[in-house]
Amino acid sequence: MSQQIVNRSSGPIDPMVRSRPLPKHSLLIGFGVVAIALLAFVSSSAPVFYGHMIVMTLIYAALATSWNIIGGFAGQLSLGHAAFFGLGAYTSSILFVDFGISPWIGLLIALLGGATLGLLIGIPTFRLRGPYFALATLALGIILLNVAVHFRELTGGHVGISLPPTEGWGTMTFLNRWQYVVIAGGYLLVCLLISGIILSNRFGYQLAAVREDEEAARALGVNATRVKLLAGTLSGGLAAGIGTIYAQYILFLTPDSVLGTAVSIEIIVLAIVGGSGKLYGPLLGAVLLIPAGQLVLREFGGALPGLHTLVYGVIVIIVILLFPRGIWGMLTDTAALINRRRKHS
Amino acid sequence: MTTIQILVSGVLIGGVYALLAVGITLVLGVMKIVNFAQGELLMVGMYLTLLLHTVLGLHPYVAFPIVVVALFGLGAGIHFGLLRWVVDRGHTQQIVLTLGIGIVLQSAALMIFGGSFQSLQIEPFRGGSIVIGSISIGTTRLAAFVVAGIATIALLFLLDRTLTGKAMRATAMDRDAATLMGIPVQRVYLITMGIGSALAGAAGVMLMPIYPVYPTVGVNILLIGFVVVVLGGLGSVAGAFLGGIIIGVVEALAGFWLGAAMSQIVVFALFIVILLVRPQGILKGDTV
Repeated sequence: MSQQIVNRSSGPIDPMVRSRPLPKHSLLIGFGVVAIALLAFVSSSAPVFYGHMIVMTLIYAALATSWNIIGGFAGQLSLGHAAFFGLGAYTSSILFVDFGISPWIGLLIALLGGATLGLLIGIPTFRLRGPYFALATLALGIILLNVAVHFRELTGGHVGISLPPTEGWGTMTFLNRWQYVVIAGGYLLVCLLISGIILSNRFGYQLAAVREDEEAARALGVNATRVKLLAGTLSGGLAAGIGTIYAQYILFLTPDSVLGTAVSIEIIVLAIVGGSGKLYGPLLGAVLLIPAGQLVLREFGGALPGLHTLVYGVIVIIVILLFPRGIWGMLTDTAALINRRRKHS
Repeated sequence: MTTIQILVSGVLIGGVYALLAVGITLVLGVMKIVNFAQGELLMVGMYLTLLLHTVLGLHPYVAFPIVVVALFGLGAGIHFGLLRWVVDRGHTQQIVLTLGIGIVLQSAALMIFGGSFQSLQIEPFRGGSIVIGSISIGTTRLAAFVVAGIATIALLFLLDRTLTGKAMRATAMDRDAATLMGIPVQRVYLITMGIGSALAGAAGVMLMPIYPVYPTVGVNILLIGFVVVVLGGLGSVAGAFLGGIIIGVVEALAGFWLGAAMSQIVVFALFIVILLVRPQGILKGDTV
């Protein structure tokens, strides 16, 4: 870590990214590929429970990372991100079941659909500030949920959609779990890479400026509406893409499982607990909370239903009160503090 | 005739929405916090009413003061232990904290009472209704509406005519100036959060004989509550009451003509339109 001024109060920018953007990204790719290969190997031989845990962690990490672009980098609290996730899941599933279109093409269409929705929603709502924006996105999520419930012919309503278990890479459907680890892990890596590139570029600084003080950012010539729209488009598209992967993994969709308000809240919880606005914050949140939640659910789910969400709630409260910058923020703050102490002594 | 019947039902259920929304709008107006735990406070109120009935055999309307006082205490406790620390922070942190509180309350209810729907069977009220011409008015719904009206008027009186209310209005307008005038802002917040929570408790009591309770019952009602708050104008108590009735009617009519899911779409689409077109709500000027 060179002699960079670390902006501790705000700034999503890791000093290392600022000084040498390229090596950092290749490091991320290298680490990511090795980690995915390891996880794929582990999941192919591990018990079903742990394999499932790995895939779900990767899926939620990707989802929270995509939320982070608009919710963290741009500081616009989206309470309706399940809308994008569900849109992606339903788009590819309907295309696959009703029209026989491969989920891979469905994934591309979901990406485009999510991005378009992000853009269309952003145009009117980015004028809203603070809690107004949060409430508008919350309403958007509920509208999409009810659209899925209402248009039964297309979505199956409350009954949902079951996807055919035709195994193979062409149909993105597998009996084993390691393929899903590769796909979801690869997708997560792409999300992280895009986020990293955003942070180390002018765009990332513009988003940080808008987040910290929109008026000041505008005064400095940042086109706040444009950068927020771009962030919303990217975030929506990436969230929709992981929806397709989730659908292909679970092979069963209901409005509540992909579009429910609980999904939107879970995304935010992961990102905030890990550290929103930080590149690896949402990933850390997912790595800590998804396995913990599943373990508690397995151990106590039968005897004490609700305990795993209780644990979630308590963690959220503790993190907000004690570590407002998330666990990642707390760790980097501590590291910076130790570093400084060492230099001074 | 059916339309009029639905209209009346809508107005009456709007009273419960109003009761919840008035609490949200009060906390938002004074503390500038969007309380996402308000729905769960209502849920706690409902379970408490049920518990008082099954354990002590208390009629819900007799249990009313107990529940209201208990919920005031819970709200004040939540402020004292948790919200107090985030009053100065950004909206995101406040919203996520209240979401966390909601998750905790919801999970606790699931652990204690289980996930099944439970309703309250009280004979004199069950199915009781007043019939005027061809329109029948459920007595429990009418009672809920009347209580909502009284609570709103009482709150307006408190805000308008008492020193506590004056302190609350002053804090809502300008916190720093209020502090300089010697108003104990933290105590005002404590009272505000207590009253907001007590209103959710009141809504819970009145809803219990009408609607079954389950751990996530608060979620959907809370969302309707937000729609009402925005419609009425954020921070406006009278607006929230009026908004509650409007949303009750819109939901009932849309539900009858278009179906349940479609009525939700209509209500929340209306919500987004109001946010964009008239974010100050239908009644201009803040009451709080």
